[in-house]
Amino acid sequence: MVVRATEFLRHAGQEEHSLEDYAGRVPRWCTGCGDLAILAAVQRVCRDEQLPLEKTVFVSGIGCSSRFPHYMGTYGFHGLHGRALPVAEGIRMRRPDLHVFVNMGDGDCCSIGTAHWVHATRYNMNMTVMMHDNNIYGLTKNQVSPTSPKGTRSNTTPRGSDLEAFDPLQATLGMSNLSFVAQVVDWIPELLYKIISAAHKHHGFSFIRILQRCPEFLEDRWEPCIQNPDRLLILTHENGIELSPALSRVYRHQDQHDPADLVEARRIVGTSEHLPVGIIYRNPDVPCYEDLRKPDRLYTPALIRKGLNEELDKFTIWPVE
Amino acid sequence: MAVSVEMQEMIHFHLTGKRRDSEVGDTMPRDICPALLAPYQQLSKLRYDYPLILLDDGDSHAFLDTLSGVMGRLLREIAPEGNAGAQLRHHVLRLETRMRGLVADGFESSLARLWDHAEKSLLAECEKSEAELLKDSLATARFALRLDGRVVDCDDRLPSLLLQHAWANVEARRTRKSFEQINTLIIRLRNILKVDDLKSGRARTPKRIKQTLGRRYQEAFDFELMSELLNDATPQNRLPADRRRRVGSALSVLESQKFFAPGGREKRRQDGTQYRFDFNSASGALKAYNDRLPEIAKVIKAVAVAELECENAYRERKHAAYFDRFGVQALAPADLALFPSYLICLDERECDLRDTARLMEIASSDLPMKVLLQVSDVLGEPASVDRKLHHDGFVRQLASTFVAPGNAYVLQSASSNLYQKKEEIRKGLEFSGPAIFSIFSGRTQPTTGLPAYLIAAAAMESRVFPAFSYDPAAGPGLADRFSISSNPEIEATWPHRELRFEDEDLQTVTEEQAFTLVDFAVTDSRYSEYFASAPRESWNDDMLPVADYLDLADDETFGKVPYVSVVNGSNILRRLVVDDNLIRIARRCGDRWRVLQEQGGVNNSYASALLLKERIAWEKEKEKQIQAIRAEPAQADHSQPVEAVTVPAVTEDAREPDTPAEAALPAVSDDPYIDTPRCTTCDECTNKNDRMFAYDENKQAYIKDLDAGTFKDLVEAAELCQVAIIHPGKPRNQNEPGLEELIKRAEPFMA
Repeated sequence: MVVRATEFLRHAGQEEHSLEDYAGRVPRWCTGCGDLAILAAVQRVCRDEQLPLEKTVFVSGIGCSSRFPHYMGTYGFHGLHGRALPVAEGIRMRRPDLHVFVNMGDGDCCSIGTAHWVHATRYNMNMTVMMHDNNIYGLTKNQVSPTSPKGTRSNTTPRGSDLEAFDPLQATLGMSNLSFVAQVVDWIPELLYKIISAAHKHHGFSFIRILQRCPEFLEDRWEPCIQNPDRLLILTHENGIELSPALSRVYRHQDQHDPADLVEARRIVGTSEHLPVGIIYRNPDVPCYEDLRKPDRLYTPALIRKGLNEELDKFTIWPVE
Repeated sequence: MAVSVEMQEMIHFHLTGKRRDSEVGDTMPRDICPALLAPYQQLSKLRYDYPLILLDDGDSHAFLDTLSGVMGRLLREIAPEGNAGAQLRHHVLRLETRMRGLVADGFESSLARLWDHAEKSLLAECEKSEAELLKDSLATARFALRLDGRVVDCDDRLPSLLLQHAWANVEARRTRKSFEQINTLIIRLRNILKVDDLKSGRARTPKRIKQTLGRRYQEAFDFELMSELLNDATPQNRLPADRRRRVGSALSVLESQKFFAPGGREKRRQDGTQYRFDFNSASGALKAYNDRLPEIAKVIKAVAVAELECENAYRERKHAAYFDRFGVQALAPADLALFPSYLICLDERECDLRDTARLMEIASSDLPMKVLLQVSDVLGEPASVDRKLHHDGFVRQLASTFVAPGNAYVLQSASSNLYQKKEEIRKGLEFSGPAIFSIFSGRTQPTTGLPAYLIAAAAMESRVFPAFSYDPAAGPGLADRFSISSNPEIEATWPHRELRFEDEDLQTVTEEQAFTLVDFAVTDSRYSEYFASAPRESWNDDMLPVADYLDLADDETFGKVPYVSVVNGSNILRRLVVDDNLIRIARRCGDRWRVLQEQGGVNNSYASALLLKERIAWEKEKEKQIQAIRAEPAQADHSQPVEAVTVPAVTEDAREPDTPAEAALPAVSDDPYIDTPRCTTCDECTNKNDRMFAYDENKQAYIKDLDAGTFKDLVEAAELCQVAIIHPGKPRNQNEPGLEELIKRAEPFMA
């Protein structure tokens, strides 16, 4: 029920939010950290969409990236390690009117939080999920994470890590009820902005893996890709994202990829020698769990009381009259 | 050529309607049936769209199903293909036939009860061994049957039952959201007041505190003292009086509104806590609508205030003036569309001119009125003794007049076609404005004994009551909005069907016959006087089927008589000569159909005229070209100068590039600059010198003040920048220390 008068008055009285309105505390990330780029892009998306501050919530787990909610001027929930998604799902279920964003690190999502990630993908609840993937545990000062490349030297692997890196994209493209998957790098702001914006507009679980720099512990990790743009494969499509002419001149290695094509998405992620960047898969038709489980009636206090009484009555021993 | 006596008799009857005491001209027997309908007389033995099931599930878009459809899906689900499922299929189809027979005999119930009853009666007829097998099969099928609903046959009550059911289904889904939103607002407004109450002294009286604690510990506390202590700590930030009054007022309106309610609507209507929205007269519905408008305005205003209050977005200074003036005149169609629509069920026989005027008023408005105009007698009474058929049943086709205003959804259909029209019925009920459903029930009184379904189907088949729909929401043009596609053979004046019969030598003969209004009139015993029997021995070539006769020009009809093929109770094929008055009605019926065809884009005279005009122009053009070719000599005359081909000069400015123009590349500059769109907000440069470097409105770096730093600052910032987008340019101060080395360090960033 949308009453015209309310909409009109609400619109007329609406205040314009600036980028500063979406800014919270001063970020305490290291200078040069990719998280700063992600924060700037997210604040731009919020400002351009004019998301109401009181209707927006950022949920995080534990890690460098999980300080994100502190730096936003919206509501936030700094949760437990690996448990950002269950909290976000709870919020989404109870308050479907909120814009829900989730920030997780690679350790947060792909290690301790993997089970939640798998099932959150399957539940497909409407939220924008950013996995800040710097390939290292930064907050705890340099330990390998599941996505660290083989041979990464860290405090826990001083002679180099033994295992091949876990590929979150391949994993997510194998999950059920997949709805939106994208990969982007923090050092191309235009793409970062466009993909976060597209993910937010998508109705469903939008998973973005953001490859990010950690200048403290993996300084050179992405340097070859930054210095040589041809190492990136930019996925463009009229149903995905398009590059500006200026960016097209720098990133010439592009591929027309329809995000609706799951088979092609798997091929690109599984076989490409280049780093794919763009919207990899999108299916807007997957139903959201909160829509499927939407109650068929309003739970008024009277109804809840009635239901509780009925349940309690099952265990009541009535006196003989 | 001499005309036989029998033929003369037939011509006399055709022209005068008078009979003589001869075999020719016997009136139509009562057990007669149009020959084309003969195979369908035993309807209960056939699988067709009836009976219908008005499905119980109010949440689903599917409000209607057919018995044969339900049983068909059931069998596909439970009976294996081939021999394995043959017995199960046989048993279930046997049950279906019995159910159909029971419904035809007037058994009224739900599907579940009908099933039980039919099963019981079938089992009672079987031998014990057969009964066991049948019981097993039906138990399997019954277990898989997951739906229920009222079973209805095609009869006089069907149109209103079906429309009421469909309307209730659509309204339940449509108003549920509004009801829930109002309830949510009520809860939230109550919460606002509750919180305010908890801050007040009333919440901290000894009595209230005692109530909150329960009986068990009541002796353990001194509630007087507790009240004193709590009152001292009572928060002072109470709701302003104006806001409390506003919230209370909106809450009171929402709590007492009578438009939306949960299930059990009927009970609420009876005790007066909810309005009725179904009416038996247009005047009654219009009066109720107008009387309730001020209340609708109050509810809309209360919802708007409540929504703003719940969001804490109500601003007294900005909004009070608007709401003070809010009334009926401020209601928009979008607001009204949130409220239940009104259903008006009318029987065309009881409609007088006043009702018709009211209906036209509704059709011309944007009121949310849904009207069922049930037509039960489509031909009407035949003419009086003077035998001048000055009127016919077409006055009952009011639906076509409601199309004229252009803003009402209009659907006309016979009952037999209602299942096929279920989506259009739903669309009409969901349409935000008025919708008018004109439905012929098929119950013409008195009939020759054919089932109502067949009568309804015959009315549509014979163009007496053709189906059409007009949907204003379908598009801007008539081609989008108006459709006659449900009728058979829409290109033809009359639809044609094959008639198969055995001749005197018992050989099968197949003839193609048109089904006309005259065939339909045969089913109505009131029109028996317009037919005269033609004995077999009098049949001759001057007797023409009605459709052929109607195609003749007036001067070609001399010496001919039209006839219609019928069968009697013994299934013997007979011919009936038709009175000329009925032929005239049939001709008018054909004319009306042609008008509908034009509206529906079939054989459109404007389009045909345009096509003809274009064809003539095209033919003339071609003729000219042919003449020109013929006039040319066999060989090309090379003595004539070839017309020079002039090519417009292309200037530098006008020349199109071969490839899309590339965006201009940034020029390499001696001035320092930052490629701002590529800045990743890493804080390196701003940490280096926050007076020289700053962030723009997108939080991306730019050079704010060159004088606020040195060339060294620029070079070091360029080296720190992880994405190498800072270009230091050339030094401005040639006296800066260590300049030579700095220029060297700046070189990699100068590209």
